[in-house]
Amino acid sequence: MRGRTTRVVIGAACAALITALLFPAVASAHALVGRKDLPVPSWLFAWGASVVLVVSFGLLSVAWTEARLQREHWRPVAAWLSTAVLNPVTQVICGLIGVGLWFLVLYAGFRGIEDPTQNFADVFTFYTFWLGLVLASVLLGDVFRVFNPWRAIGRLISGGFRLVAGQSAPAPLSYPEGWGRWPAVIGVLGFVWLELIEGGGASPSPHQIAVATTVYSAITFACMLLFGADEWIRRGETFNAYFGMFSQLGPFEARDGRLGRRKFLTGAPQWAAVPGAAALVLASIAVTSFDGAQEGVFTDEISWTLHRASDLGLSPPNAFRAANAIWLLITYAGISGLYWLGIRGMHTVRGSPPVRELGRSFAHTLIPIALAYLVAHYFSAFLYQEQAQFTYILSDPLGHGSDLFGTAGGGINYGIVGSNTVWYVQVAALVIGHVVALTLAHDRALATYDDVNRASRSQYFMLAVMVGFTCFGLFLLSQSNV
Amino acid sequence: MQSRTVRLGLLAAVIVAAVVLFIVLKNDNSNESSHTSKGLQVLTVDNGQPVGGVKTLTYNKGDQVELEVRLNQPEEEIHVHGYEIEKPAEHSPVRLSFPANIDGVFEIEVHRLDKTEGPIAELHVNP
Repeated sequence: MRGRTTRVVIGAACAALITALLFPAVASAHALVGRKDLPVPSWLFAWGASVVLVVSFGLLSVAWTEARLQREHWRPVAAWLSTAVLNPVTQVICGLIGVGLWFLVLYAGFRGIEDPTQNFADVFTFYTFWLGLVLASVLLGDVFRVFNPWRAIGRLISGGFRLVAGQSAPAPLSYPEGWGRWPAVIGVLGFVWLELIEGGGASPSPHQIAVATTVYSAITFACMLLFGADEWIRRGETFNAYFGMFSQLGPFEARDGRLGRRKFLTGAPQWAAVPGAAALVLASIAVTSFDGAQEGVFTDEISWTLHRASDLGLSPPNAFRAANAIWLLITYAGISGLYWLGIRGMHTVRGSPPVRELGRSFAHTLIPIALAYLVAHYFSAFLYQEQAQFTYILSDPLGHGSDLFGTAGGGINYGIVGSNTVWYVQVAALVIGHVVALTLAHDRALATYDDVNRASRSQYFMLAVMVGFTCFGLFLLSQSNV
Repeated sequence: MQSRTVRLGLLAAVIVAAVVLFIVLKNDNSNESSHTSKGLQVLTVDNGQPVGGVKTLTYNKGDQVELEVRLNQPEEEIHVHGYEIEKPAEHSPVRLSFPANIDGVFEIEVHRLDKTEGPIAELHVNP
């Protein structure tokens, strides 16, 4: 029985790798960044992929036999520290900062220079906010919650209402249980549409970012009115759900107004018990893959689709949008398909819960892979763009020639990290993310199956899925590194 | 029981690693990144478009990049991304000479008089 399963798994792993390797190879361009990375050299790719495999099987063979990460042991930190971080004054200050930055994105977008590289709206939205907050969430906990401008405005309004009416405003609708994290899935896809597709072949203009921010804010405020401000922020608001997902890996979390810490990774297992959890983490992996593949491995396919779209009479920017949207969805379908295939495989092990429940209960194990993809794909671009953020963008956010802090003359030093450093960081991120993901999955399997052997057997399937994801990530980097 | 898993596991690892190495080494034959550009490279731009498509110019870090861009009409400038070199391009040819001291991939663009821009070559600098 065991021998057969092993063979099946080996077959699946090989198949996944070979499919990944058969994708055609090309190279390409990123918009905001002046320097792109050279592709990871073949030898490093081969080396990385081999390490992934050896480490994976090694890990399974020496792994523990009782679940260790399922209970989080959250403990409050010292009261003074908790109060220093979470008092009403810091809440108000952070809320004000959040609202201020939100307003600045809108103002710079509508009134600032149209060159995306010179405008606060682009650099802040796609680097400092979208990537920087992921990093901050893992290290410091769910910091976005306190800076969330929509939450701050919602709280201000509901506080004002209470003051005038003497009672809280009742929400007309209750949040449907079945929605779970699905609104955030749509939000993440929409955000990446804005970043990679809406520009119609170029970076999105600051004006487009401001319009998108306005539309998203309007939807958010409407939903807050319908479902209750706190309820919508906690469950439906995209960025709260997205950054909150990454904060589950880290040790810090605030509960009932108290700051506490737990062991690394132990927050994640509770996160996945909601509909749409798997879809959200898969969306994160898919959009990062698409960004890596858009001007790399999928270039030819996308341009073929673009020509078909042009033949149908679409204007060039619309043909670009249609072709890229189709390939974004194909990427998402492929990534999700691989995961659910693994879950179906796992389901063949006796004593498994139903497929849907099984898929949801392992969703959190992919968060480290999503994080590793982000680090691998954006590490160097983030280092460059943060230099811009804190020099010329800081002093001249609108690009109109102001010099608020005397740093407007600064620029980006592209020599700050060399190709070798970038490659090693990328490969190391993917390998470490892979190991952490396997660790989480093994632990969850021990909690899911009542028998250690069955738990290990179920993990061959998860291992195939994760080897597939990690090698696909490595492969994308070895083809074009943008 | 457990040691059998280990052995099978290692076997699988070796098989897949071998597959990866094989495919990678096979691909390497068609990889021309080891050929670097030497001497003066000429790029021709007609009506703001590169003749013969966007060429890849490969250098090793520390090499001297020598470029001549020939234009059939005045353009605004030639821009090397990352190195932030911007050379006015009213007159043909435009000569560029600089040491390749940052590794990575950089776009060389023509900025046209109508404020549009487009790539004319891609500079690859190996570490």
